[in-house]
Amino acid sequence: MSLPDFIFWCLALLTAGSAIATAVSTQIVRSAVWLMFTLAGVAGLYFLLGFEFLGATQLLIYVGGILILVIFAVMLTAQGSFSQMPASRGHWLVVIVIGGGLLAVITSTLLSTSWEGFSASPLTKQTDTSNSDGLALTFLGSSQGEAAHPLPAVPGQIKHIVHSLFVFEIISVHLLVVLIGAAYLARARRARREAA
Amino acid sequence: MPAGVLLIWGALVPAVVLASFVAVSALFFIWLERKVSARIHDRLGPTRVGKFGWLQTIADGIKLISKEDFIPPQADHLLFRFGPYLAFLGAFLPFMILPFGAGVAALETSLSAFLMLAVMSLEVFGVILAGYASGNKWSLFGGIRESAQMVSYEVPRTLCVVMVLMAAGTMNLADIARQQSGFFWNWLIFRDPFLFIGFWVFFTCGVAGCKRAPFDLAEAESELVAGYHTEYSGLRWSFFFMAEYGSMFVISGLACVLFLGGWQTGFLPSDPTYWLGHIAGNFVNVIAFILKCWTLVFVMMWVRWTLPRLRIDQVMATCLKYLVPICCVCLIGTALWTLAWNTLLPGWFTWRANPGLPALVQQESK
Repeated sequence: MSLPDFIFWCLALLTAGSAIATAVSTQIVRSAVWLMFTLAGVAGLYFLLGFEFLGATQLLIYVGGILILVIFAVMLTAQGSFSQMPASRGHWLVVIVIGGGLLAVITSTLLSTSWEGFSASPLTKQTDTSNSDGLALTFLGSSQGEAAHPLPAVPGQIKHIVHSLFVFEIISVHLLVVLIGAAYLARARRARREAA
Repeated sequence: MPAGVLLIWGALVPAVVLASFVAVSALFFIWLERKVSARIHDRLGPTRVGKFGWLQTIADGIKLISKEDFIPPQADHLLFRFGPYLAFLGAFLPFMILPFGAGVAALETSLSAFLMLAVMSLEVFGVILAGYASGNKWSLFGGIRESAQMVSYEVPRTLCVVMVLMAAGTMNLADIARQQSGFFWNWLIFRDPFLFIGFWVFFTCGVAGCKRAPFDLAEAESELVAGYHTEYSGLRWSFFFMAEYGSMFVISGLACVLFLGGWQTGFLPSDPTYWLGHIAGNFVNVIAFILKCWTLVFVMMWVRWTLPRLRIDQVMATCLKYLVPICCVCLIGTALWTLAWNTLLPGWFTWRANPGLPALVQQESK
């Protein structure tokens, strides 16, 4: 096993283990902390692949986002010192259906993609982000930016996949979810207090 | 040696050197803080243990190691353990990116300024976690205050960094420092009046980010016992202190790189690596950099022992009502200034950034 493989397995174990802990933990703050470790592990994988900007953004946005999540979780949901919030059977059912579906989609994509022509060692792949122009062009999905560091396109699919822009869209959607969740938690609590 | 072993050595050596540097500088800063505070109070400070009391911190360190490692029964054990490590990690990781000299950085990337901002936000997480997991309301207050303060002060701090990135045109901290070589009037702080204001705003936000007085509401001894670290003792407690002194050095180092010429001495016409060679030149550079950082850390101590603590609403008002608008004005000002000079005198900044040795610099950047 080469060194990049070893690092990959360490990071993958960290990510997957923390992800399971996030789902299993009944304490909301503990879940959030495990979620942070999961996201940090993913950021580590980005660094390993040479996508430094993406890794740094992952750290900056997710740690900031998770931080706000934790603050809201502590301030607005805790009834006692360390409140337990076990998931109900209905929650588990919904989560298993959604998670299983996502897993099926990802697995089928993995199996149907031919992996020939991909670099064997992740460490050899380097992104050229030496100037901010190339970086900016890549975000906007410009072919000029992609030419500076071509990303592997899935064969048989559209050639110009706007990688970075798509990832950023997902990140912004995540932040929106955090914001809505926070607002929802705050509102629910206030309504209950007025009723009582 | 095979490439894998070389990689492991290349990772281990900077990590060990930097970890020892953080620990030793924390020891030194604690001693310095005692001396500085004593002098400001018209006292002598530690004098008995060693010459000038410089062994006092080591004696305290031995005491801390031999103390009982106590976790209160009402605490969340797992998160209580995570707290100090996360705080220390957040203070230690930026050292990996900080350029101490020309090419003297554990990790040189073209995005180091951005990466720096990303990892610096980790420390507050440890503090909040410690405050929450202690199962103590004073700790929780400290943690929540810290989070409110940090989330607010990150805005003007980031805007100040963006100002510099815009003026320098790069996100690489080493390149930013390289642009400021030569005499001290080449430093970015003197490039335009907006960056001059930006430095003071950045330094204020840095002091707030390190939870130092007058912004030490997370610990506030007279109100919250000791704030977020009330329940910690022994080695775990000292991790928080190493994190605090480490992040003081980091924020001073970042201020140096962004505004005060990084490792440039400021009174030599060019980078000493050009005429002393890589090793001897960087010896001068690293000493200049560390001395600059120590000066800024000294200013932080001076501020701490001179100014009274702010109230939490005053802390928030300072940030949101004053620092953020100032930053926004300066951001626009820097943009216009850079644009105006580039239009009126094309190439002025590139010439001024490397007076004397343009050919060499261009060669190196290729």
